[in-house]
Amino acid sequence: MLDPVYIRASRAVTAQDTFAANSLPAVFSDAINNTLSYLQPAYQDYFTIMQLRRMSRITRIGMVAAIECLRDAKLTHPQAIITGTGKGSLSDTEKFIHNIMEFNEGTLNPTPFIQSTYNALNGMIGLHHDSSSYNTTYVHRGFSLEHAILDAMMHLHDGEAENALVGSFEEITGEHFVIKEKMGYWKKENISRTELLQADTPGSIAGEGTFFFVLQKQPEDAMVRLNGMKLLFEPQEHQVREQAQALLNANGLSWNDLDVVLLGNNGDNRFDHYYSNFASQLSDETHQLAFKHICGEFDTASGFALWLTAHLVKEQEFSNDLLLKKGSRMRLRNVLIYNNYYGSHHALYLLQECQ
Amino acid sequence: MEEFKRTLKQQIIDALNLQGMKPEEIQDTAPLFNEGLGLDSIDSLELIVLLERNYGIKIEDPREGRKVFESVNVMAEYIQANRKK
Repeated sequence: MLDPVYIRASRAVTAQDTFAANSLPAVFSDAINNTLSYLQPAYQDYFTIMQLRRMSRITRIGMVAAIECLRDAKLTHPQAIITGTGKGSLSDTEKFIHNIMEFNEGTLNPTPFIQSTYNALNGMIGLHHDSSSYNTTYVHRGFSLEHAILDAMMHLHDGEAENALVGSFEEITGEHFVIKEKMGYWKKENISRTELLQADTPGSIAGEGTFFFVLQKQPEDAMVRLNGMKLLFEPQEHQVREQAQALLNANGLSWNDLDVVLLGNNGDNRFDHYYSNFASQLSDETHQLAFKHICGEFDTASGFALWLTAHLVKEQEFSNDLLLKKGSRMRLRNVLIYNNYYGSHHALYLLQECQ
Repeated sequence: MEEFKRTLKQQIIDALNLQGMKPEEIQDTAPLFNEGLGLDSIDSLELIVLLERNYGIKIEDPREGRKVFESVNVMAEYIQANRKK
């Protein structure tokens, strides 16, 4: 079993105003045409025009999130840089593919090709921070962020690093929205975030989000402790419950010890039964929160739940807009995240307030 | 030739995404790489693509490109002497 790790700092760029104040805003934006798109930071505060010209939307967002996360952690040279992404820089990938078609596989522009590679952001972060340490990007659809975190946990466990910058990044484009619309990923009807979780129809709303965390081995100045994770591919419902039970048991906890459970309900009636059945065994004292009506659905949406958890444990409060079911616990000490990506990739995270 | 150089400068700005820069800010004789505009090896590849698409000129060796891309003046003369469209 891997040692617990500590989240020292966390940053999120989402459709909501999460970046500037680094906390959950009081007012939330709604989806436009079933899409929650990035509220973009002020890049000119970080980069010159000569630097910006070759950076795509997602690499700009990823860079500012990573820079501020490391600044929050007072860290200049992370000992590992590990990210996960389901799709990487989609806009550059599309540009590159269009180029191939338009110029009949002739001479192609190098910049979109370079940016379309999944590890382009990691390379930029390494260059910016003059870091030649371990540097890897995982591309495993709905498990991308989880594999990045697992890798970091193993590095910290084995003593190969004392800290690691871990993150995920995702973007939605117009073309990708249409492709996934044809696959039934999105709702046919336009829906607001306040209606999403009650909708008894297939599909969800699209989202995008970039999240960075500094993980460390020691508890000093940490926001929250990550005790462990479980990943399940296409499980039966009872297997999710059993693995959650195993995660709790391994940490000397029971269901009744959970103060908050964050659930990845996305309003899709083909998959939300996983969450309702999972929640049915929770104590009435446990707060049940949702998050995808705020950030939308994407491969690495669990990053938003992780960012939320770090903040709600540190600040000991959460917005009522997140509530699925109010519990009675005053102290927010033990938190379980359960998220799945369209019923296939299921992830459980157990987090605990630092003593 | 002056009008052509102005067109070429605008093409360079567009190809290299030099946001906010105007053609008149690029001097005809100033080096494009290093101390001049501060372009780098990836820009060199982008300029090779520009020459092929706009003028039908193929540069197989990027090192040759660095000589061609010494300045706007050198580039303009090379294009006029070698263009196929």
